Amino acid sequence: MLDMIIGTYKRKRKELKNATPLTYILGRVIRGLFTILVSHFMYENVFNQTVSDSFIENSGSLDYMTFVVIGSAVHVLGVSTMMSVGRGLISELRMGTLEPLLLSPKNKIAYFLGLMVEQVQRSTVEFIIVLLFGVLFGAKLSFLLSIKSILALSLIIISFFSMSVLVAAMMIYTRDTYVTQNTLFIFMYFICGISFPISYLPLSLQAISSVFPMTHSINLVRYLASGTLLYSNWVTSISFIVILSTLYFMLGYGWYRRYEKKILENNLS
Amino acid sequence: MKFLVVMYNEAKKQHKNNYISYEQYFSLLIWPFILLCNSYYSYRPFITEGFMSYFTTRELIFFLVTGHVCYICFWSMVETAWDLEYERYSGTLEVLFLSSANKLAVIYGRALSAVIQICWLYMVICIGYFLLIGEVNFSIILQSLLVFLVLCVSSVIWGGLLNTIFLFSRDATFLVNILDEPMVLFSGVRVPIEIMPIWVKLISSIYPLTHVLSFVRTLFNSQSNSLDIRQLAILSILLIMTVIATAKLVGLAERKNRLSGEFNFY
Amino acid sequence: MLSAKNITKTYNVKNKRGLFKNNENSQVKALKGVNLEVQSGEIVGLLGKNGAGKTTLIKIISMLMEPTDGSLTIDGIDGLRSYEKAKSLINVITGGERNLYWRLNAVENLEYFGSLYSIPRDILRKRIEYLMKIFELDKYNDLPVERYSKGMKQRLQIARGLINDPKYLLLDEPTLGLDVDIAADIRNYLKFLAESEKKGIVLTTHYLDEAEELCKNVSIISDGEILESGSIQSLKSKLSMTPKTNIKMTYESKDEFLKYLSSMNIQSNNLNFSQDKKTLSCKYDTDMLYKTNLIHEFIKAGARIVDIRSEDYSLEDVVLELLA
Repeated sequence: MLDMIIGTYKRKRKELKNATPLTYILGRVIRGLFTILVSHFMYENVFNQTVSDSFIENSGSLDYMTFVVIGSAVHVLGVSTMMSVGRGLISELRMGTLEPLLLSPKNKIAYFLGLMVEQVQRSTVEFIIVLLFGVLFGAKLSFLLSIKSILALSLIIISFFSMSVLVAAMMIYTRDTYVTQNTLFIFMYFICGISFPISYLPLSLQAISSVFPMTHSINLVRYLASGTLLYSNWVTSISFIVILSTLYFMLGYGWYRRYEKKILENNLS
Repeated sequence: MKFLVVMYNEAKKQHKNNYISYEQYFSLLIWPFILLCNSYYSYRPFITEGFMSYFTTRELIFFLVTGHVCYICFWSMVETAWDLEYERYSGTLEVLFLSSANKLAVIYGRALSAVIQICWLYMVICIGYFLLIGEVNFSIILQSLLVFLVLCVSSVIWGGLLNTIFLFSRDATFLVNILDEPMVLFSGVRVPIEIMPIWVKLISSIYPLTHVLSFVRTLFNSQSNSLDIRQLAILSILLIMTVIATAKLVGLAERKNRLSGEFNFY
Repeated sequence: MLSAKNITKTYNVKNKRGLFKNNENSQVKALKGVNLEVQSGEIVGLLGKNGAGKTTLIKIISMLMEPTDGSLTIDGIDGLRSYEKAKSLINVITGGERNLYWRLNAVENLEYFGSLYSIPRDILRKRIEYLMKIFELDKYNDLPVERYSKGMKQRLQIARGLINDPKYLLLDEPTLGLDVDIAADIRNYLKFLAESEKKGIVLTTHYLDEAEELCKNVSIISDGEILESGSIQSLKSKLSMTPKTNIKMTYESKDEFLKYLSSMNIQSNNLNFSQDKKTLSCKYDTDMLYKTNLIHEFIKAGARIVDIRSEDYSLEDVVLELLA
């Protein structure tokens, strides 16, 4: 299993470095940076740094820029992982390399893990760049330099990995990335509280947001930032992350395994 | 005439090849709506007791709806540009350049294929708008058609430029990110340009979407409700310059690929 | 006539050592002064090992790539300066499954590719009908190309290559991986295109018997240079690979036999006498054998012809000899 993880990691890394070295680095960072910029201009130029009381109440007393930067950075981390790992199989199908992968006796979890390891390497750089940019615009992020935060981020990455296995199964089943990317990721961007507290949403949408690990991941990091470590909130967030990750992983991998034989049939016929 | 025929056939091929399911058409309505909701809720942290320093709630909704409808039209062009990467490694880009077809016509044909999405979205928005205001008269229909024409022409020309960038290299996604992502900020889709620093205003003036939005918002604004000819003129000049730049870039891209033989490198 | 003269192509290759490390640039000469000519109605074979420069030359002739040096004219049109004008006269057919839109069916693919050449609609429709029929694709029009077998995709590739009715066709391994019967059909069709429709064809292939069957002239390329070119017969002559005849004879008396040959001034140094001193074998150039009436002299010398066989060198022998 380890050799497949390492093999997949090396192959993906070389592929991206050779084929698209600039997009490899700059791609998602630009998106994260401009999300912060838009929020900054709204905060500074439109509203002269005035926020509502409801925001102060629902943000755990975090200042606006810290609130938004945390959301953007975790969002960049999440979408990067889900896009990279989630698109793995469909990309192999399009390149014509899915057959050898399916025909190999190795456990496909190792393949997904290999993609994840490669992506984490990139996501860490993207995450740090977005955070540094956020600091330039006044976000207070020194709390991230702690063991607690590193552990929390590690848990968050695992949760994104679990969801990406489900996304991968979805994409290979539908043989399409368009609907998943455009609808699911944009929906998550709206509903996971990236640039505003979830409490602003109608109750039904708040309930839906709780099924996404990203919501709880962002909550967890914001709780770490605000210093108001309400025991129930912290434990709730971690519990949700662990349960949802397990559920999504089992669902995704189970769906993939059931469909794997059909992919082989379709490909070899 | 040949130019238009090539453009039409490219658009037809793109549409048949890419829009293969009803789910795709359905998603074309869903995600712009979600983006719009996200933008509205992003303003909520600043709303205090129904008052905001710059907008009223009604003005904010008008601002965001116009911004997002126009932005989506431009954004849909990005998909056609990304698709060139696939054409490169499937070998069909090579076949395209093997032919004697006008490459500029092909580029604009690709962008034109996304107009079908725009038609669908725009039609639904217009129906919603007519139902909301409760009246449909000749003037409103004419305004809607004019806006649609301006949107289509501007976004197709913008789409042509994005497609041309992808002709240069398979590693062009980051260039599109540099051009496209800032457009949300610099074109006044979510935040008004008028109150931005001067450097933002200067950058915003190079985006066709900025002028489209300004024109559309002036036209549909219940207080002004006028045809901003000046803005239309600036937009026209900018679009002509974009077409000239695109034509030059297509030639450069073809030259570059002919020197390196990279039409089908993947 | 399609004429490529002194074609040279040098690539600048960046040997990437990493994102932030210095790149080492090197130059690779893919083609070194290559000449190729194709007349209407002629099939010219371009043969060589992988990496010899065949595909690079095809890309330059099809004007997809610019040479570093050299000239290209197609029916008098400068292919390097006026390439947009010249492109309507040529087309390229590759082997394999690329260069098609897999989500479209055959007619949709052909309609699109036809539209790139500004062919009038009614002519295009008739041409598509004709091509679909002769390549037996009309039965499968409801299927998208992704459901086609390899043979069907290749037939569609050829149909695509003929959509603009080009004067010159460049075929890059057109029968690669195809069934025997389909490959035979394609070869027959290529002969028809050359003989009846007077198309000039450049064919690259690794199947040398195919090249031998189809090509009037061949050019053998290696390491970016043309080693030899000409008709297959002339190449064989050049390399002294002319048809030979093996003769096996029996004789009564060796001395009598050799005495007679000597009296007729016939050389005997290539006669191989067997150990049992009853038989001998020899090999002569077939052409020479008939011209000099040598067999008749052997009989007069007392020999009895037991076996006579002719052997000819194949194109494979020629290529192997040149590449060695």
